[in-house]
Amino acid sequence: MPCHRFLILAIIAAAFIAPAQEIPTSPEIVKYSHEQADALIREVIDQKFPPVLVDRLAVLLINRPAEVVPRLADYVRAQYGLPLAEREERSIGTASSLVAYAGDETALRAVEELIVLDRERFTPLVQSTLNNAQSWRNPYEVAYRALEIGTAAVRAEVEGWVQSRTDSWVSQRYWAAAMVERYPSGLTDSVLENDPLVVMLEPKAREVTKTRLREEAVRVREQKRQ
Amino acid sequence: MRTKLMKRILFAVPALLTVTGFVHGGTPYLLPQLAYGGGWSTTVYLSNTGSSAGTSVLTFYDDSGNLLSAPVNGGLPVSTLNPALGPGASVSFDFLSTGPLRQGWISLDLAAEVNAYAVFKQSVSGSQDQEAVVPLAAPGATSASFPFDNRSLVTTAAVVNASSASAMVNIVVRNAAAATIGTAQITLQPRSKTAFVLADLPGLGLAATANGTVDFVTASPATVAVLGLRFRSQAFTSIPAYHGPISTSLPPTLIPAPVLQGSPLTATSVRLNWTSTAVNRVRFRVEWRGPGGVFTEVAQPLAAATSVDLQGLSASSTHVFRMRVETSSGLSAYSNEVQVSTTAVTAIPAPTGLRLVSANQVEATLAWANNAPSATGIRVEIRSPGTTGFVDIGLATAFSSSPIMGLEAQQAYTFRVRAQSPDGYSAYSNELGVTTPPKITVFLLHGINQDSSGMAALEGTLNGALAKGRFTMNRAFSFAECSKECKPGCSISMGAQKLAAQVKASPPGVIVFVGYSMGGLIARDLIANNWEGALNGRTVAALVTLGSPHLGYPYASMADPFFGPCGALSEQMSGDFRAQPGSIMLSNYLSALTQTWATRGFPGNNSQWLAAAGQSCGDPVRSLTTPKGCSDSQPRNDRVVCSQSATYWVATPPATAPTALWSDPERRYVHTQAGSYSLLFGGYATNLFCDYSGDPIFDLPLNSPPGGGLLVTRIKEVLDALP
Repeated sequence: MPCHRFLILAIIAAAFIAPAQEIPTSPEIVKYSHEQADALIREVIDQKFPPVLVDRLAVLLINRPAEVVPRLADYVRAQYGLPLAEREERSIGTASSLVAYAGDETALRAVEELIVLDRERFTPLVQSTLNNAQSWRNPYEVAYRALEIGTAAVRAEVEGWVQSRTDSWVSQRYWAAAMVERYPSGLTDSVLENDPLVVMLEPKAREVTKTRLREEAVRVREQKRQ
Repeated sequence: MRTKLMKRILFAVPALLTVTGFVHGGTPYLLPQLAYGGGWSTTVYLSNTGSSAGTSVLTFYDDSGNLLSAPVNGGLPVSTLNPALGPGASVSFDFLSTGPLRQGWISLDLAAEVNAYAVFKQSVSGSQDQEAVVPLAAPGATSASFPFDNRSLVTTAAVVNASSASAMVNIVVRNAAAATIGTAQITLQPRSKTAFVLADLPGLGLAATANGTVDFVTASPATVAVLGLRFRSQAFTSIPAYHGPISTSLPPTLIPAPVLQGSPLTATSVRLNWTSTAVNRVRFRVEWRGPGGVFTEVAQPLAAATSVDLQGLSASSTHVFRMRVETSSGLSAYSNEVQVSTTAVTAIPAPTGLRLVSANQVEATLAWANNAPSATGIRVEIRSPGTTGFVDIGLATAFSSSPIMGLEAQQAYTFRVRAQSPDGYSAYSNELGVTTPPKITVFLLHGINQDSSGMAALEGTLNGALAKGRFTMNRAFSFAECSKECKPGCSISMGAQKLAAQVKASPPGVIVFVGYSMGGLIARDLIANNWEGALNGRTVAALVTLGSPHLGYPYASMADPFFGPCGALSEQMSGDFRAQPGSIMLSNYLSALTQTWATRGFPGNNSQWLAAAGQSCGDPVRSLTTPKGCSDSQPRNDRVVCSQSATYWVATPPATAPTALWSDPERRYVHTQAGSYSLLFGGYATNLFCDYSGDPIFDLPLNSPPGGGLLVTRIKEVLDALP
């Protein structure tokens, strides 16, 4: 182990921005009453998604997605009911991005509805939802759910997402963990051959991935035992 | 359209007109049609059935009401004849078929008991001559009528206003059952004549296959004289018209004509002003006649208008205008005609010195010198790659400069501009070639315990947030063999060297590093050491570090369930603000990097370094066994890295510190999320400082911030502002 040494550096006196009293903490936001949550959502929409309120809403969103995601999707739908010149494009972009930020099944269902409104614009949100899921949960569990509930367009995006992650060691471990939960009896050849995500892979990548998934599944089970 | 109309009217010319009947001396009868030349000829006969001699006067007019000089009997052209006939005498006058076609009508002031008639004839080589006889039109009539039959025939009419006043003529067509099937209105100037196919008049289309009567009614002092003709192929004959009172059709209401004035505005435009006393106005109709041309309607000003500016006229020319007002009762007579002469065009000087002010991947700002004081705008034209011609993309935003949007990266464009004025356009400026730079490559660099997938969410968020067309995200960098598997001999510099290889393999151009946690150190290591000369010939326009431990973090021991597997890397990133007040104890690696960094001169004056720090935790002391941590005076941290460390809060040589700081003003950002799946990685102990004691509250991770939030907005501001 290398030795540490002291490097004398003058610490610049600085006053970091102190939180104002009226700023709600994240735990306070998470514990908002239904009325307080509704008021925050309306305030964000009314003020056209200012960044500081977006952060507060994001905290509420990722902790209580079922309450927030539908409201954001409703907002986007309402905007698409307006003439093109009257739409708040920046707000639509932020609202739809926040929907995907939730990274769960609620978000997927909302994205699916948004795709009906504007296929080209909102289809990429499927992969965004899965990427964001990695911050809050196992993204492969969300991907499996997407295959169960999604349209052909959603399934195509899931396929693209799965194929893009075959080189990711972290992703393989997430996937193996999801499979351990999904297939308690183990990852047999039959299980892997028929897994709805595995079959989406190209043949060459499929074989390599199956081997990795088996190895990672062993490690996952070992860690669970510990 | 005009050609077709002329042909139809020519066919409507009666071949031979006969005038007959007892007349009273001095009363101006008339023949509504006179045609000669071009294969047509007319002969007029007069005879005296009285007991005394008398002199009659025949006057010839063209269709516009001007005197017509005709070579009667092949003699010299005359516009009047004064035949004197004794009792029982007769005379004839021939208008021969030679020469070009001329048309008009004849006024006959007949002596007492002198009869007259005329014969029209058409001679076509190879065919028999066609002739027709037509009754003489009664003098001074304000209405006329004749029956027509368009069932396999075509009916035409010639209408003359022999008075000295303008005549508005109502035309009403009825079928055989007396039901009105069409109405129309025509206007005749004094002493003018018009001829037309009945069913061709607007409003009379139903007459095309019908039979019935057609009435022509005007109001005194105007008069009408009508000659009907009907055709079947080349054969034709005249239809006698009744001239006298008609109770079934009403005369038109007299609508006063506007009074028109005009003056030149520019070399190519004029302004017309008028007054009108007409009521129930619908609109005005302005007609223009250029040099040697005929009147054409060119504008329909609104009912309340009193002036109109007409553009696009030829310079140095005389233009004639007239107008009438359309009311709910019909059209007025034409106004007076006004003549306006436009001046010669003064050359508009072209803009000069077109140059490039700045350009990025999708936008260029151009500037030039405007030399035309009269310019109303500067038009910009672009020639895009792969095209041969310039395209006008509209007016510049200012008279001497303009931004040009909507370009694409790494493309060669050519621009030129010209001045626009009321008189037209100037010549073009010089042409300017502009090649847009390649897209800026943004390398996304993950942190410890991650691989490239850890930056996937941020990649998507930035793609949605940053200016379109300017950036290419590159998330390929993966240091998982060390950051996850921690193979022997791993070091941050190894990561920097791996990054160097990826930079060298990427397209040329400006680059940006966005490093999360350890990824920020890897980027700084590469910038400081320029491994493999990877940065030679490249500009690092910006560095964005997200919660990077520039001054270390109080790393856990090798036994730490999270960092234990990668102890070598975490030891390189160690630093402690509490070991000695006012100073910081750094690892050998960070100490060396800090010293090298000071000599590298980054970001300098031309690059940007945004250092972002989360401040979600206010506990200065890590919650494990050793008293390491943040300074007591500035305890905020993102649960792993002190804010002072993430913002490089030390005294540094000039231009080596972050150019922009973001310090989480609402204290919501954490280093990374300790979600339920942290157990997957053997204890995801991210909370070195604050501990929610298992409370599953999610905060906002620095490596995947929400789009539209404070952090992404700040990153966007920095990157979008890059030149």
